[in-house]
Amino acid sequence: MTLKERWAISKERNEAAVAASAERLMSDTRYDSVRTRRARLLLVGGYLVLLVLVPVAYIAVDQLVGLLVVIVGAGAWALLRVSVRTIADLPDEYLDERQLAVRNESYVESYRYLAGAVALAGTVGLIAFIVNGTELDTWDVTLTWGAVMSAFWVFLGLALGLPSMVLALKDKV
Amino acid sequence: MGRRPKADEPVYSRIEELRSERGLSRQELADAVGVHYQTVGYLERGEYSPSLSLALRLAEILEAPVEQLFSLTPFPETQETR
Repeated sequence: MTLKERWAISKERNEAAVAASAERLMSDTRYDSVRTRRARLLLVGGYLVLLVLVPVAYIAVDQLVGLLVVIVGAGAWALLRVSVRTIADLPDEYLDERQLAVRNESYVESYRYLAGAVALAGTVGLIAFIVNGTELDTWDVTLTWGAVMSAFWVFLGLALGLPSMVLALKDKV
Repeated sequence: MGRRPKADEPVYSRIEELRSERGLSRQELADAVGVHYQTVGYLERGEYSPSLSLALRLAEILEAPVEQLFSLTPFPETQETR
């Protein structure tokens, strides 16, 4: 079997798996308890709290505690996706026209929030540089493992979680 | 074109009435026109305006002209909706 044939088979299997997963999520009622307005608000609130706790745990407590918060956060993210039927992540062909419209609206809003957060972080960095910079226009910052991990996980968590959070708050899926 | 109002113009629908007359459940109608059952609920409540192709598919399944299904003005009350 050639590499191209293997690739085609693998792609076909992956598409079948996505189709089965989409079919299951669209019609399942097992997780309806996480699809109520209240549950979605709790999930979004909890996820945001976890995003704040990541740097607190990594920098002020311990690396292992930080990792534990990240693992709990991954669980919350998975639950958040289930609560909005993974509409933020499914390919277009698995969504109907209303779901697509809601998904697209939520991505526009997510982009605005993420752009706002990045602009805020950049502005804070710029102000910190102006305040702490030397006359030689340099500012030595010592980055610790905890600080780097915090920045990485918080940014990743925001980027991956925002579309589902916005969808959950819209309460239209 | 100018600034459009944020709220969409309401579209009134008789989908629920005609679906009941045809003895179809929301799920059955959703499957027939290829949308999620929640979307049928949004259409019935007038909270979502369908595309032209979806409106035509609905009209075909419910065996009614599109203008009998959707309107920009409220439908006169029928015996069933009263």
